[in-house]
Amino acid sequence: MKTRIQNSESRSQNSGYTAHIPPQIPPPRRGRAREGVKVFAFCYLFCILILLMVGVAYSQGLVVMAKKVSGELPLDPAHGLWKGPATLEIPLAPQVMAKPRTYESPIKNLRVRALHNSTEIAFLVEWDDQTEDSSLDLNKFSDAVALEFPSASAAAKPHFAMGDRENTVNIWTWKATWQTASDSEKMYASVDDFVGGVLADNPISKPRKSPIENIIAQGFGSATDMEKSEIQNIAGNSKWESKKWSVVFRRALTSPDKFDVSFKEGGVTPIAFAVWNGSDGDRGGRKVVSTWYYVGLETEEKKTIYIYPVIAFIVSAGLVAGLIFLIRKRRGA
Amino acid sequence: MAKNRVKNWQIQRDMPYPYEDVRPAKQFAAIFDINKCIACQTCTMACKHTWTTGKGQEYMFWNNVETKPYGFYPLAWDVKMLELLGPQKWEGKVYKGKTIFEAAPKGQVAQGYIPEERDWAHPNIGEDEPYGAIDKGDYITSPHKVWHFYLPRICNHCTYPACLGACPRKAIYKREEDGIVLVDQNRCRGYRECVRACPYKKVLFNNTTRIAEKCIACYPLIEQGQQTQCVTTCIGRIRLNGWIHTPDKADPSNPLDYLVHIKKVALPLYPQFGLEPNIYYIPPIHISAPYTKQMFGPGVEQAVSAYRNAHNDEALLGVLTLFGSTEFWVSKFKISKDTATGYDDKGKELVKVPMREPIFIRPFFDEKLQVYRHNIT
Repeated sequence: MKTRIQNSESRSQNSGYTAHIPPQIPPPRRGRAREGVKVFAFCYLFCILILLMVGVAYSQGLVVMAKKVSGELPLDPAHGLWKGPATLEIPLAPQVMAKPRTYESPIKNLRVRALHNSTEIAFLVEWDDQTEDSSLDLNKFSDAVALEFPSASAAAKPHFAMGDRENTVNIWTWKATWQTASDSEKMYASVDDFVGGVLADNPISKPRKSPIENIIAQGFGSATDMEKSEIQNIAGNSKWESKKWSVVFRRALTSPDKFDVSFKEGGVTPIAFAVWNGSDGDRGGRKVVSTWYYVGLETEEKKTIYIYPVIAFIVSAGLVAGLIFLIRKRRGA
Repeated sequence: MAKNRVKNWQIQRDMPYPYEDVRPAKQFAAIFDINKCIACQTCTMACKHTWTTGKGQEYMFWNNVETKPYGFYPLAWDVKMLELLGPQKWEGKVYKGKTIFEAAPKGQVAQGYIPEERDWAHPNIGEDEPYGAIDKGDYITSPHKVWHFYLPRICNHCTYPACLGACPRKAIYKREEDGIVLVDQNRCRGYRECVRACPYKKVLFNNTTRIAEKCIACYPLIEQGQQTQCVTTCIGRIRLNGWIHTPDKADPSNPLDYLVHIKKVALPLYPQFGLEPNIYYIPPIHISAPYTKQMFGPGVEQAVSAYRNAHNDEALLGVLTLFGSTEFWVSKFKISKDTATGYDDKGKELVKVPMREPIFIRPFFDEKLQVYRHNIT
C-alpha cells in the first residue's frame, strides 16, 4: 500500500496538478510518520465506505424496513409519518410466464415504505402513472397494485408468481375502481332482484366495503377472495396526484387465518409486488411484477443495534480527523 | 400451454385449441331459417324480458337480429374480426386460412378485440339498409342485385369456445350434459378475456356486477325438455332447437342432423373462425353468393339449391314444417302421409303437423250473401 501511495504521489507530481502541494520537502522521519497516518486514514475511510455501500446496497436492494412508530398508523398517503421510513425502489417487469402475457408497459418501478406500531403494519406504495384509471366501463380497466406475501401456512417460500400448489400466497390487491366504489355510499340501488353476480355470491359483484381485496392463491388462475373468511380486514386509501399513485395498505400484524400472512416484530417476511395500468388494458395476468423482496420489522432493541455502528463510525472518524489535524498542525509549526 | 390439436368438422381439418378434444354427451344446437326472418325482434324482446332486465344489463341483447350487410351488434363486429383474421382461403370444403387460435398475437390465446361502449349503443344500426344501387330500368332478378337480409344471433355454444379457451381463471365451462357454455357467475373476476376472444361478441360485460355474462341457452327450459325462449316465441317460426352430432355420427331421424349433415341445408356462421359454432343457418337464397359464402362457408350453393327444391323433397319439407310447431324439444321426426311428426328424447309423440295445408277455393261471387270476394282461397 505504501509503495502505491508513494507512486501515485510521484505520478501526480509529474502530472502538472502540483500547485497545492507545499513547496517545502518535509524531513524524512516526520514525513514517514505523516505518510503512515495518511495511509491509515485512507484505508480506514475506504473500508468504512465499502462497508457502508454494501450495507446500503443490501438494505436498499432487498429489504423494506418497517419503521417502528407509536400511535395510530396513517391511512393518508400525505401524512407526515411517511417521511420517516426509508424508501425502497422495486423494479417491475412485464408478466410473461402465463397467457395472456404482457411484453411492454410504461410502469417500470414502484417505491415502497413501511411503518408499524407493534400491532399494525402499513405500507405506502407509489408509482408514476400518466393516467388515473379509476372508473369501470365496458372496455376500460382499473389501475391497481398488489402486495404478495407467503401465507402463514406456507412451509417454504412460495413461487413468486402467484404461489404454488404446496405454498399458498396471500395477496392484498388495491384497485382504483374499488376505491371509487367503496368511497361512494351506495354503489347501486337494489331495485331489481335479478343481479346475477350478487345472487351467485361473487365478491367482485357485491358492494365494496374496502378498496382492498384479501386474496389467496396457489398459482396462476387460482386467486380466491377471502371475503367469506370474515377477516377481510385490510384498510386502504389512495391518491392520484401529479401523475403519481400513492396507495396505503394497513392491517394487523397477525391474522387468525392460516392463509393470511403474519408479521413479527424483528422478523423478516418475503414480499413481492404487481402493478396494473388500466389504460393499457392491464387486468388479471396482464401486469408488471417483481420477484421476492423482504419486509423487515424494526424493533426497539434493533434500533440501538443500528445506531451503535453509526456512533462508532462518527467517533472513530472524529479521532482520525483529529489525529490528522494534530499532525498537520505539528508539521506546520 | 400444451399445443393440443382438435378436430373441427366444419373446416374439415385439425386445429390448435388450449384444451383437449372432448365433446359433451349431447350438444345444444339450433337452426335459424334466414329466409323466413322479418326482423320483428320478438325473439330479442322475449330474451330481454326473460334474462337481461337487471342493472348493468341495459345494453345487453343476448339475442339480437341485425340487418346484413350494414347492421351490427356491436358495431362492425364481423368486419373487424374478418380483418383481424387476414385472408380466409377455402380449398373445396377444407379451410386453408387461419382460425382465430392460429392467428393469435404473441402471448395470447386467440385473436380478438374488446368493443367500445359506443359500439353497443345502437343495436339496430343499419336496419333495412340494402347493399347495391338501383339503376334505371332495373327489374327484380335472382339473386337480387339490391339486397339485404336479417341475421338473428345468439351465443353459438361452440364446440371449441374461444371465451372458454381464453379465460385465465377457468370460470367458463361447457356442460357435459348438453354442451351449453356458461360463465360461472361466482368464479368470474371480470377480466374480459372472454369478451375479447369471442369473435361473435356474445359474451358481455356487466358494469354493475363487474363480471361477464352471456346467453345461457335457457337451460332451465331445456332441462325440462323445452325449447328456448327465442325459439318458441318466434312468430315467423324460423327456429328449431335440437341436439347435433358430428357428421360421422349423424342420425337421419334427428331433425338437426338431417338438415345439417344429410341435406346440408343449414350452415354454421363464420366457420373459418374455428370455433365449430352450433347455431346453424339456412342461408338466404336471393342473395349474392360471395357474401353468403364468406359468412357461411363453401356449402352455400348446395344449401340454397337443396332449399329451393324443398317442395319436391317430402322429408326436407316435413322437417321444415316442424319449425315453431311445438315448445317441446324435438329429438326425432318421422314423415308419413303428408304429415311430419316430432318425438321427444324418450320417443313420446310431441306434435303432428300437416305438410301441406288443405286449399279451399270459394266462388268469386257469393250467391247466398250476394257479395264479391277479394280473397277466394
